[in-house]
Amino acid sequence: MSDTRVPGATAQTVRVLTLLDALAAAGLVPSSSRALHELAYLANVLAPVFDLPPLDATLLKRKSGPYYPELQQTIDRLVGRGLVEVQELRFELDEIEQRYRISASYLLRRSEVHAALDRYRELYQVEALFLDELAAAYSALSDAEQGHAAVGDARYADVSVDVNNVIDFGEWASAEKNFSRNAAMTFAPGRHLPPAERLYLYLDHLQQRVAHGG
Amino acid sequence: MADDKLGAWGAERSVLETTPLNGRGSDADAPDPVRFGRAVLQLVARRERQADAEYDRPAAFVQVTRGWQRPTGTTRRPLLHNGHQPLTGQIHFVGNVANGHSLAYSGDENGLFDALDTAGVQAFPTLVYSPKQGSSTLNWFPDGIEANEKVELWNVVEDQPSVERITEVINRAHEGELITPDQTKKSLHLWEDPAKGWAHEEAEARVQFMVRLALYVGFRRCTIRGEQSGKDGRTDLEIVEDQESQKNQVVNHAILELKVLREMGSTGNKYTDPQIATHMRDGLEQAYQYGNRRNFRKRMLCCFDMRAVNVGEAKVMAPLDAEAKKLEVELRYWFLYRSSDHWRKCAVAKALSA
Repeated sequence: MSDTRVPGATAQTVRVLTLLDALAAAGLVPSSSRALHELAYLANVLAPVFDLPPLDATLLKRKSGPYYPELQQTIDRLVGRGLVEVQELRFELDEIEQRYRISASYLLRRSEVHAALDRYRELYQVEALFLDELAAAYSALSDAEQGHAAVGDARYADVSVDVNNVIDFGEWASAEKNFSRNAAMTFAPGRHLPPAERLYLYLDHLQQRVAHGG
Repeated sequence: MADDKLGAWGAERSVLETTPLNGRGSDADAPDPVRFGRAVLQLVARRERQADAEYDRPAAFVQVTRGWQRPTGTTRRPLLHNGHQPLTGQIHFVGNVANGHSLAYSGDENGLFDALDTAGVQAFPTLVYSPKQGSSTLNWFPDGIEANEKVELWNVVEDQPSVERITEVINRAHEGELITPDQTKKSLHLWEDPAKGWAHEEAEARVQFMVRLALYVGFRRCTIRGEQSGKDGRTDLEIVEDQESQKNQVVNHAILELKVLREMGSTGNKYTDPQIATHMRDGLEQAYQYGNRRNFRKRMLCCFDMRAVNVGEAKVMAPLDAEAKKLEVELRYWFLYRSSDHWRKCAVAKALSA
């Protein structure tokens, strides 16, 4: 078992494929671009719960929720290479930011990627388990909530970072600024909980906040 | 005052700290079919606790694969797991934690099986739920309904985790996995060098893991917690019921302290009889203390003997008997053989000495 990181573009490619795979395992297939970006963000802030480093510890705070331009470029590239299928492609008005964004749903072309994903799961067992559990916990959000939940996240919603500024939870800032991880570790003080259980508790709480407009 | 470690959730520390546990994700180290079975049984039990639970028609839960293409007409059920939604009269295509999509079928039980055929999931692991107030069952088809000769019946209302039931469950793990190295997966071997009688350095942790897996299956409605720390030390295994209970009502069924009795360590270092006796006594004290302080209904000391000669449970446990009775700690014992040949020889020696 090895959980050493792979760098740059390869890491982004692996992350897109494994996120789509985890979403499919959780029944979220095809996966909306909003859900994909949101799950990518949650995977970054909550990776330390599994003692994993975030793939990317910064992002630009947008009013409407997490969006990673480089992740989107990777998705587009994978669509071009025939590894990912795109459905329901359209331009959608983002009413919060008052601009159009590409909206689409994605699914893996299994025949093209299954060997690579099998190998990934062999080599990166902990990370694969983390993404599967995170996606399973995330799947308890309704379709309407998906893509709009992270704006209530402990780190994302923190008022110390304004919209259009960078949220940093470990790149230059101390990892202690990862409030999402801190919150996940706050459940059941003094008790040893498996990390997966902390993800479900975190997502349950996030969902309750979203449901109550928090 | 807001907590500066929790960002936007800074005012919610006490809410987070007192959030009731529900066990979701606590069995993430179990194999997929085990998790699926536990999640479905817990979901059904949760549903049956609701006043408006339905008992009209059967339902099926199908464990689907990642690449599976769902049939048209299915509806995503994000909150299926919470027990507030009707289950009967439908096929539920779900993952390890009972989340996924549902599809209504027409007719009776035959209609259900026809619909499973039509959906093309005859070879997928399936649980068929037959609801009946107070005595509902689940039929477990691990290889799908097409392999209908391979089916297991589960009661939704499970037996409580009594000492006898726990012992039965560990007996099964012992006979199936632990008794000789031939039974154990390589990654979980308990022996560094069985021929020399050298125990693996992680033997105790591996026994604990295998017992935990057995308890997951034996008590699907319970959460099995390991390594819970307290001021008085760290427990090995706890069987608690927090899945179906009302808020904050957790039933602490049993605490298990596990001790491996080894003659030789992983490098051939020898353990003396007094050291082994002390180890067992520590286990007795821990089982009593942890169980008492944490309000467990039952306390058990479970010993796994890896020594060369099987002198029998009565003789090994005798020095602890009287105190265990007084402290209300149940003593249980299993012998682990170094090989099938060792097992045979010990059985013959026992028969001859009888």
